[in-house]
Amino acid sequence: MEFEAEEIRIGYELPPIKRMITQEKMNAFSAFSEVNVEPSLRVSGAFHTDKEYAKSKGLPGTLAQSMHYYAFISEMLTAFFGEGWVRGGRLAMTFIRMVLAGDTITCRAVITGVKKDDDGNRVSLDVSCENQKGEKVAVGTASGLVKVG
Amino acid sequence: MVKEAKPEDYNLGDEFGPLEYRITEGLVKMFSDAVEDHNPWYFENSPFGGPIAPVIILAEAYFSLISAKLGIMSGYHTKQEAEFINPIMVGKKVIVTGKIVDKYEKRGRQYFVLEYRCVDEDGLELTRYRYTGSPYF
Repeated sequence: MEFEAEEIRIGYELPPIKRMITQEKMNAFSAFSEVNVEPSLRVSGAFHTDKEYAKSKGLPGTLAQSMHYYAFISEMLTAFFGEGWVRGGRLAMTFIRMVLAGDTITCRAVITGVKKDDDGNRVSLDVSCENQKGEKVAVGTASGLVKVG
Repeated sequence: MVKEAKPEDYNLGDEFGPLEYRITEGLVKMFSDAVEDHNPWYFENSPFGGPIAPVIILAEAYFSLISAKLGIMSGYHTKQEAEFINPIMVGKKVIVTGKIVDKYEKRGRQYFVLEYRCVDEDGLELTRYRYTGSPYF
């Protein structure tokens, strides 16, 4: 994928993704994450799928899995970098606040640097996910490779 | 009674897997529907010579790796790092292995770090991951 020079500049913000994590989608993600787990062990998803179970463990409700919204960030960066994400992408995120069923998550990414490395032009970004209250739930950094046209 | 992984079960140097995943169209659709990502590269064609899976499709494999060996994994996920090296082609078999490379205590809470990697049936390295979490909620 070739880029226009104006897209590859410090401060450029990628188009954000805003998405509600419904219980239905959490159930689907839990079913996926347990696809390679022996059937007798497929109950831990209860933290993510059973509200009463989650409350019995002291949680305010069912929790979204961190990889669920990590996937949103990867989706943004796949759309932006294309091949330079699939071959050469790097993503590191710290999860700082719980995400509950029904929360709406907005994912953002802003370019913080561009440098040449052995693989080509590596573009670095700050990435984050915030909830509908504007609270950050996850923060981190990412980078991918670009060819500037 | 279902076995649950206990904090004392996580030992530095412990190895996990191999786990095998066949990256089928159905598996990709299951993931894509859950996260609402329907990039045409996953269902039609891609610049890599056929449909690929989302790069992070196996990020959640830490759960399967640990649960298969220690019992149900629960706890608090604090950090996730990933490096995407090669595309995960639909139709390929992927083998995932992992190892606990660090274990530490911070503010009275125990943490461990699991590194795991995905390699396809031809030995091509696809993805490297590093999970950090606490076995306590």
